[in-house]
Amino acid sequence: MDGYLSGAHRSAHHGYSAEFSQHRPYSPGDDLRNVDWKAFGRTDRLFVKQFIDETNLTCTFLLDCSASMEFQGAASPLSKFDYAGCVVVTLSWLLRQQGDAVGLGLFANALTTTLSPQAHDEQIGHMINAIETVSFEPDTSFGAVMHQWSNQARGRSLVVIVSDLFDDLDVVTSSVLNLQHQGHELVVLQICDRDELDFPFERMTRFRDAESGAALTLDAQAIRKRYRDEFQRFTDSIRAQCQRHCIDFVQVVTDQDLGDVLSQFLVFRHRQMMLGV
Amino acid sequence: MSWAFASPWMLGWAVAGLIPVVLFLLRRRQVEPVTWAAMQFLRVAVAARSRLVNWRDLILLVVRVSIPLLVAICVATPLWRSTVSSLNRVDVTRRHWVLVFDVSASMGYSQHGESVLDLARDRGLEMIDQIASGDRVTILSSGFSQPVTHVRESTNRQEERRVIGALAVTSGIFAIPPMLSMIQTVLDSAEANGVKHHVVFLSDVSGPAWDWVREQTAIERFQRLAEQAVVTVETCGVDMRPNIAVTRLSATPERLTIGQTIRLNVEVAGFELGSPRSTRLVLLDGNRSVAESMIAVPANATTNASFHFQPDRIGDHSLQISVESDALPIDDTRWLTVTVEDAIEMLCVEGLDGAADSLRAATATTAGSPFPNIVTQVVSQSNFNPDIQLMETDVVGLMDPQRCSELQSNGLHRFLLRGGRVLISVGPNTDVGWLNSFMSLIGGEGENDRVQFAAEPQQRDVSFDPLQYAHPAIRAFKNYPQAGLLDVPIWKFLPVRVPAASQQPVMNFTSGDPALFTLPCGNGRVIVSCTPWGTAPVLSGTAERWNAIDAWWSFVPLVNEVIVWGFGDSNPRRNLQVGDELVCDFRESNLRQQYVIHHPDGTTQLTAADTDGASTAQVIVGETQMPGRYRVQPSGSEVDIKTFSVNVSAGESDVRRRSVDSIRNFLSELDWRPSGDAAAGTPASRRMLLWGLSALLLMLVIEAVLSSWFAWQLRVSPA
Repeated sequence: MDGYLSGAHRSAHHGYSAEFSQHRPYSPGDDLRNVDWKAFGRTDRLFVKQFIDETNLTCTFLLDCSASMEFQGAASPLSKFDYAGCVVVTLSWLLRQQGDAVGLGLFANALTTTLSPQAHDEQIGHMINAIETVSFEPDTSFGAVMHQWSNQARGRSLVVIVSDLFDDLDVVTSSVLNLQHQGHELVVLQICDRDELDFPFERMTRFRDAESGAALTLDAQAIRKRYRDEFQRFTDSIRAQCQRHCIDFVQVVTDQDLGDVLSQFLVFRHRQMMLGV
Repeated sequence: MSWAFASPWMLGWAVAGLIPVVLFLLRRRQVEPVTWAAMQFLRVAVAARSRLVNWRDLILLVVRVSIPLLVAICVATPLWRSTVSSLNRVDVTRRHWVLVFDVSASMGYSQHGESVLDLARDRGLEMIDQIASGDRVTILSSGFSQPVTHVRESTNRQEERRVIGALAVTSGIFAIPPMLSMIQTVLDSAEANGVKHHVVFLSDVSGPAWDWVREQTAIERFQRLAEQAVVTVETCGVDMRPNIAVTRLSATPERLTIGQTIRLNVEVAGFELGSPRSTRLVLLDGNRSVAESMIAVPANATTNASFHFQPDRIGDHSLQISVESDALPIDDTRWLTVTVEDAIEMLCVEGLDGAADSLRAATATTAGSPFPNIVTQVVSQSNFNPDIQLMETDVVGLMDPQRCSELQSNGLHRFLLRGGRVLISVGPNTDVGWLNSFMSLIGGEGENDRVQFAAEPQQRDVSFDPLQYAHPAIRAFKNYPQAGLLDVPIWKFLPVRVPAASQQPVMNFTSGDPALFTLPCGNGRVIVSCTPWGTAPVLSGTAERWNAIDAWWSFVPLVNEVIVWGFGDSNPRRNLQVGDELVCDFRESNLRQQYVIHHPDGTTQLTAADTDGASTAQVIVGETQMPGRYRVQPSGSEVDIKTFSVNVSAGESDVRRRSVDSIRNFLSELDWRPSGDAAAGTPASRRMLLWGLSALLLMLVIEAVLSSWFAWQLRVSPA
């Protein structure tokens, strides 16, 4: 992975570090210093050794600022967006502590705010300012946003999508995979409220869509099971797609302790690196 | 087919059926607004579940609405009435409907301003509306001994409606046997080919008349009727009908002389009261209040009260006892006529001169005597002319009678039939053959039904056995052994065989033979002493002494008590039951005299006297139609010369529903029509209650099963 500092993160490019990556057949023009002569002596064929290059990280957070992120359940201390903002800022600060460049994209039906990845300390302040002054948009267009961002991105980077992912399942998965095909490493953080998972309503309830404003009156108790099944099926589909394509997927619930969430996430990331995923 | 609720108030329960609907709508209105983000999942869930949820809401709503409705049905016990409509489905060419209305006194029982007859009338009109236009209708009613045919095989619905609408409650009883005969006659005379007969009784099925249906005779007659017609009993009116009634009013004596005191005995019954109730008893003499008292009427039992009353004038006294008015007012009052005479006219007929001396001496009233004033006249048997001498006589004493002529015997018999009293004292000169033949006029047809005296007297030392003083004629001697009744020496008596059925023993001899007994005859009574009440035969030297009765100190009270009882034990010609014929006898006849009869309802009837010969005249009013006081006055006079009391049958007060289980097998349908606000208790209402409770239970089970099934389908789990 391209970056300013080597050693803390693995680069997608093979460089000159001590950590061996793989052999590949020799091609004319390859640096002869990389030819593995021992392998030539054993096999009588020329192979070139490749090494994993440790480099500094470029990380971009794509934060959903659609109106659905404004939802805050009865038992939750923060809205989904506030919680997501805390996650983004905290991770950005950690990355900056190890000298990585961090950037931010706020999106709803389009990218509304974009902060290019920077490796200076003022970047955190700029990101906080952008998050605090956000204006929520009434609609989400996940596919268009991802396409727009990939067009304006320079180089490959770690992309952390922070969203409730409330869009068409196919659009979400295809957009994420499209970014991966362009060489970005992806982490998907799905932000959920506890009420969205449990659906705790008992009586007749009028549900007003946070984004479109459309209302739906129904016997909440009667459809609870079906709703939970639908929600679970959606989440499981995305998780399965991410696992299949080696994309980190983490579901975060807003009533969880932020420290626990981040530590679990970092441990998860470290384990993934150790396994070489 | 229609539904009738016992009370309009019970329809309030039906309103309870709206409660689930209202709750459902309110629940729909009381929604909780929520701004929601994950709408896309909600839409999918709703699309998958909305149909099922709607069906659940609808079905559970129907079930929950039906539960209070079924409760209402259980409580109100409605009637599924389908007599006509169901029978109309039978495929026959024509039908002949015989509607039999019970218009007896008990049908006047009213609740909420509507009598049982009103209900029967409404039901009858409803049936007339449902009967096909070509069908024939016969309308019968019964409220007295003879049923009445109002309409026979009519096809004129207007006329039938008019007749039914004009039916009124009578004061009589519903006599079923003559009604069955009348129905049989109607059916026999009706067209038979292709006609199906339906007989529908509309009655409250109460009173002793309906007890008859338990007897084998009734079962057989209903069975015969069922072979010819489809028989239905429609039971009108509610089943539980509390009623307080004066069921008996009697006086001791009912005929008396001026200065005597009457003891009035009143029996008040409480039917289906549930708990004892107090009521005020008021005694009236004519229109004058004499006494009143409060009594507690026990539930489903009778109580007695008594009054003492001393009439202050000679003549008929119409006494009236009343309780407070209730739902059946006709039995709240009973009347009784007591006749007060200046003296008891007694004619002693001597078989031998001097035979009546002891009796005349015993009945001679002295000043300050507790006994009634008895005026005794003595004639010899040869001079005895019943047609002339019995006109003014209340009691005839035949003292040691010899053979009477046929004229005398027949005259005595007529006297008895009219209500006279004949005291016979047998003695040594009594012609036993004549006595037995005279007794045969009184007794029955068979040999065993007659009183039969032995040809010869029996000589035996005996005394009186008062038979525990059970007979009212000697009850005054009870607890007074010193009065001497038990010590009377008797050495000879005439044995007699008295049929047990007709015998009313007053005293026996200690040998077990009858000593003094009475026999009814028409409205009168014969009192027979089997040992003489006089010493004439002994004094005349014609016979030996039979006893020492007239020398004993118990003789005077015994004679007076027996005569007073014989004179005053009843006044049957003056105290009648509704339906009885009112006949007014006059001793002084004026053949051209007309009389005015004042009926209890204020109407008057002018009639002439009829004569039965030269000695008496009668005014025959005919069947009495209503209870109360009937007064007879000579035309142009304001003085009542006779007063009659007419009462309803006490059985009509017993408004408890009778069971017709014994004839149920012959009924096509037993259709019950509850009314008022309490229909519980009728077999049909109990049946409806069971059906309602079963349906209610079923609904509750369905509710539980459906709720569980829907919960499983919708996976309704805790939040």
